[in-house]
Amino acid sequence: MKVSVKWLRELVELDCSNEELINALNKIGLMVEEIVEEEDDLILDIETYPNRPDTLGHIGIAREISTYFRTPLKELDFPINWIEESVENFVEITIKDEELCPRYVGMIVKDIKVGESPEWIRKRLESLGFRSINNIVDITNYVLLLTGHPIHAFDLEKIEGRRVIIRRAQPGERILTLEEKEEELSNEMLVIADSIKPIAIAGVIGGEESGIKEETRNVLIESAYFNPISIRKTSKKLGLITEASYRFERGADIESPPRAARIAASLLSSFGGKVAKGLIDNYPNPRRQKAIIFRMKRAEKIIGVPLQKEFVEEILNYLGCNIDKTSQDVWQVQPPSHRIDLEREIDLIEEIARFYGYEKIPSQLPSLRITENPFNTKKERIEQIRKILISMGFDEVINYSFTSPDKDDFFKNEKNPIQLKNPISSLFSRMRTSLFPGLLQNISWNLNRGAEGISIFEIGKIYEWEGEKPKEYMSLGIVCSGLFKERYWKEKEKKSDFFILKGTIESLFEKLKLLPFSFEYEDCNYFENNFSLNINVKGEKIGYIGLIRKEIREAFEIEEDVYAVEINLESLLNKSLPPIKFKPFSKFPSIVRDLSFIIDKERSYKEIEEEIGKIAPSILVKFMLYDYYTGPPVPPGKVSMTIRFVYSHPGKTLSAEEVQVVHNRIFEDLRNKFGIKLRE
Amino acid sequence: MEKFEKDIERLKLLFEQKSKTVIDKKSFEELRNLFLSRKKGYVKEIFNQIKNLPSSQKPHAGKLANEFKEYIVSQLAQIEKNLSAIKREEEKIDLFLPGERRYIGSIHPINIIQKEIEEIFLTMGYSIEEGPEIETDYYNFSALNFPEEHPARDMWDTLYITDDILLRTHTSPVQVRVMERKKPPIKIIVPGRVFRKDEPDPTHLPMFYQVEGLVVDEDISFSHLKGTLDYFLKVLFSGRVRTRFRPSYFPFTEPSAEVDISCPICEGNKSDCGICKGTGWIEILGSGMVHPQVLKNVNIDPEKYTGFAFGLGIERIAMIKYQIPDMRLFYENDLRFIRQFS
Repeated sequence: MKVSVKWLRELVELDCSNEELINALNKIGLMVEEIVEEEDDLILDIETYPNRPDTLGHIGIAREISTYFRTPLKELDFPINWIEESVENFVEITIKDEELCPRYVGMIVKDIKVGESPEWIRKRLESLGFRSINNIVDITNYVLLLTGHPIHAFDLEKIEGRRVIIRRAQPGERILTLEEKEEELSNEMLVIADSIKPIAIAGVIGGEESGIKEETRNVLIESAYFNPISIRKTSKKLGLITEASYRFERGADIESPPRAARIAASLLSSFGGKVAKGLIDNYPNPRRQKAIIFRMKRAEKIIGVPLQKEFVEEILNYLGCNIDKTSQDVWQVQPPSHRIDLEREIDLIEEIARFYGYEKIPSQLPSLRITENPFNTKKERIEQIRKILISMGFDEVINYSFTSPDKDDFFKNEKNPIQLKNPISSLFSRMRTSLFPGLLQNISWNLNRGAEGISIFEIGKIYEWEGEKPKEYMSLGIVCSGLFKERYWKEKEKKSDFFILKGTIESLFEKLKLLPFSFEYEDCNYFENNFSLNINVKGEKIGYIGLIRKEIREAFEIEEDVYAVEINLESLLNKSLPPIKFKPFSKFPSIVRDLSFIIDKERSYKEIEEEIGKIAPSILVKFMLYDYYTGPPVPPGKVSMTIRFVYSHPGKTLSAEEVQVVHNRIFEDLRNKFGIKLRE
Repeated sequence: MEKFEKDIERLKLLFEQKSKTVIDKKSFEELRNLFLSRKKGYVKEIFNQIKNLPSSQKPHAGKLANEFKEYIVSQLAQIEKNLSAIKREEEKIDLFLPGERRYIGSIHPINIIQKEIEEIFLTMGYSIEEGPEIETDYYNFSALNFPEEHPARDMWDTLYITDDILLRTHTSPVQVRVMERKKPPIKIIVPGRVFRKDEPDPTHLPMFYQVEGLVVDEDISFSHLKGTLDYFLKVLFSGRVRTRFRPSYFPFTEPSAEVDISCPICEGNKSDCGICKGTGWIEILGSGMVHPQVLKNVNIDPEKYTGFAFGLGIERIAMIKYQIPDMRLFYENDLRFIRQFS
């Protein structure tokens, strides 16, 4: 809301500097966001709030200032040039829908010459962001800027039958508006009509035909109160927000129409207009403002400071409230009609706090009452995952929750995706069903900007419909592509591959004590054939790992292979963990034995692993794949493997013979099962 | 006896002379053999002389001989030590070659700041709550005292999924969800994603992070709100900021306050400061006393209990702390950005 400081000073007696005035406005919450210096004025752009339509006019702002400085508003005089003929002789006004139009005031100004407004009005309007049109329209805007109450002027001669009817639009009715756009009206919209047709969309915009033209001589001033919800619905439906609709939808002052009309009539008088006697005031059910019970104690409790009764009374009076102090500590406070936001005690308390000054309220910490265990185990485990992954060289990213359907479709599988009804653009129109669209985009972005490799992860929600209900759950996505580790002078560079990623999640599960975990071959439509595994933790399938299909990464403009894994964190985090218990370890030295052998390529390491797991001699503490080799001199169709076994006994030093017996037994078993041959 | 003593002195002198010629392992071994050889070393010769002396002089001579031997042994040890130092010098490797660094990844700056904020509140006894990102109109608006069809709903543009299901525009719905479940005392913070129908530009994004706070208990006042936020902001910005509370409006709090901090970058001294735009103040947080209607909506008696709530944007805090000029950088996920913050 743009405000003229010069105008404010005409409305309230002030002996403060402009700087003090701006400071005061900021303190009471009317934040001055922009200051424009003009020749003899200062224009302030003030932030207003949707619950304070009273601050959408200069009088409202002046009232706030007057309360802050405790200096009264000036009395304004609006003399009117009345003629004998009564207003009722010129027009008949009927409200057909009292709910949507509880009050309608009309006045008639005759014999006015339409022309340019005087310089001072033009200047004032223009510096406040209004275009000067002609003296009559300018006056309606001037009244709006002064009182905050929107009024409208009709060319009386264009009102068919001189009858004004406030009614709902009939289906199919149309009107050409002042913006010269034809609008189709519907039954929930309120219109101002003459005996034949709508002449204005109530509270939103006037009709072109009944508007003020050069030849206009006699004017009907409309000053009404319209139902805020109805105005908002109409304005939304038409996609039309006007100065009038903006104010009416926030709620106008129902007591304002007669005064706003008189001010307009007075100003039009000053341009030679003659005002027909009286005013038509259709106000079938006058509202009675309800009194609010106000307790001093409650105010002190909420604000946290002791309050002086005199101070509270003064503030409320300046704001225009009437106070009944029959009881000492419990007052009946009647707020003024323009403060539609004052409905409850808490609203009054806010006013007291505002004018008391937030800066004067002391800062203190509330006493620490124990509530509950503040630790959120799920969050802590996510934090742990994050730390493990960065320690293994992965960077964390965060992507938007929405993505483009064509990218998301690659990964959605059977999920029923959630579409946005009013997205910003199609690129942001679907709630992601996987973290991959975002992660692949990140790979593409970075590789195309000079990065040689990228290893990243994201922890975030993915979404889908579960029947009628939207479902969202935490997911972990890890991807790597291109260079994994840079060349070091002692060591060659390392490219991302499947086993780096697999090892990453294996280490992750181990560290999180999510055991046992296992993998199975399973094709997945976004991974290359025979290049994906499903992941099982504690017997539940929680995700897939593999090599992203070439066509898919190409759709993201990625030239390098992309290895990717996505894990459903929700089910992972819900797994219970056994309490950690110390296990004694052997004090005696362990003995290491390697087994080098040749085996059919068809055999997978998993089979060997499982077989050894089945034998599980008590002295075997661990075993690992030490070497793996194919190609000459290993015959085709075969691979050479070395497995290292570590043996130890909790209670004694093992002898070489004891170990050899067990080691041989493992060898025999593997030979019988898989036909392995020892290698030299 | 006199000759015996003289011989020792002479041999000591000889040792000193010879030791100067030791330059490598070989010359060292020669010197050692000359003196300590078991068969014909000078030390052995001295000991051999003792048996020819009168028995009354033998004890004294024995003592001198032992001292001599100790002297030679310790001197040789010293020479050997110096020699190996010389050797190390000769085979020196360049220790200035780069060490083998392990690459440690970076946590996204949003999560760094979120964690910092969480930790401040955890030390004050708050617990962390979360809630759904896809919300209903009821939790996002109605329960928070937004009147139906009121312009207050336009304070933020909302992204809708159906007429009733939407992407939460703030973390405040979690206030309601928690209060439905728990009774006071309540002391929580709620970090999370929120969504607005805003085109991405340097200061707006369609998705960003907020942290919401809520305290409900007996005798909670606006003064406590001020104290809590003063403390929080001082810790978050390492004591370098002042705060300013301004009256504002939110449907779910009353009295409401917008909180500004003094610019930690220029402290109001630079008219072209990119962070505070030369005003010296930065708007950082919305807050207020929980509206009695909100408490009523969750069956908490507003006469018995009062509370305060606040909310702040994490990106904004990160932008101030790290002096990031453009909000869009957070979600481009350029590694050159992500890796700067630790």
